[in-house]
Amino acid sequence: MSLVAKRYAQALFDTAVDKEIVDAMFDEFSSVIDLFKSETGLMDLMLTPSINTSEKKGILDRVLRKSLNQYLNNFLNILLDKNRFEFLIEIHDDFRQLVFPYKNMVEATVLTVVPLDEAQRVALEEKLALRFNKKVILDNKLDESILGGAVVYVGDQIIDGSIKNQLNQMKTQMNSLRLQ
Amino acid sequence: METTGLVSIDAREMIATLINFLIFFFVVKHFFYAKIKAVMAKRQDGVDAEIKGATEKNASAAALKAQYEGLIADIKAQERDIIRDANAAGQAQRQEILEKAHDESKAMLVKAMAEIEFEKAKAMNEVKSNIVDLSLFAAEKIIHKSMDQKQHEAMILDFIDKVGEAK
Repeated sequence: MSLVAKRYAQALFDTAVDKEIVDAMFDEFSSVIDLFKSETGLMDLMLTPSINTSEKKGILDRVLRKSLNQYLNNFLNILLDKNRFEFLIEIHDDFRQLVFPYKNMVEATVLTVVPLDEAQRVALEEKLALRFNKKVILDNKLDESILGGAVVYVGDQIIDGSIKNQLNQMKTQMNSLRLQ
Repeated sequence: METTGLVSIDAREMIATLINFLIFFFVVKHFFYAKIKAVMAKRQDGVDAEIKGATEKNASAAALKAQYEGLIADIKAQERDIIRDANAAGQAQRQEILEKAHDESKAMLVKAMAEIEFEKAKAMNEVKSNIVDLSLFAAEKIIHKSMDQKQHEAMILDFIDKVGEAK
């Protein structure tokens, strides 16, 4: 993480807190990031030196204006003015790091072999929220190597309920047996 | 002149001869006797001194001979002692070498036995580890093929239940 991204993220976060729009700011900023991640050509356009800043602002305005609050819109324009648009995704990562503790939220990743349905996701988020005393935002990733069950990563904690883990424990126990 | 055969006595000639002899005797006695005597005495002293020196040298040589004979006897005695001590030391050293060799061979045997035991245990552990790895590999393959959607979901639900139980 760069210091530049941290400073911009902190400025945006302070504004959101001041204007009491942290949730909206986070949702809208995340939508912007999703858009730039899915439309890589748009990001390339914003980073092209031969297009001047006012043209970039015009493109951005036409694409995003109706969906963004004025503070986020101004923030994106400042990034263009200062030639810092390349830091956009990094700034969003830092912004999320600021928003989550503020909202008493935590990100978690759950590995499964088959995707969780909505009911399972909600149930697991609720159980994890009770366990960590925080609202949990769950990201489900598929991983066949765990064989079955689930593995949850929350910060630096791991809750491993996978078949792979059970087999590994069995392997450790079997290897510790002393042969005569 | 009177002649009487081949030998004749002439009194004057005899007296003259006697006088000549006496004069010669007194001249010699007066002028040379003391010197001749001194030379003779000196020579006698020299001979005496040489005889005395030779006698002393003989005595000294005899003493040296006796001394060297004593030394040779001592050396022979020391030689005997040295040979005896060397034999004893050699015997002790031989015994020590034998004991050391015995101890070393015993230690080598113990070490070899320990190494054999270690290698045996290591080999058994490797075999065991391979068996465990193969067993778990087979188990993984079987589980991977045999688990269906329903079983996966059941395991996930079981996990969700257990996540809430333990803190």
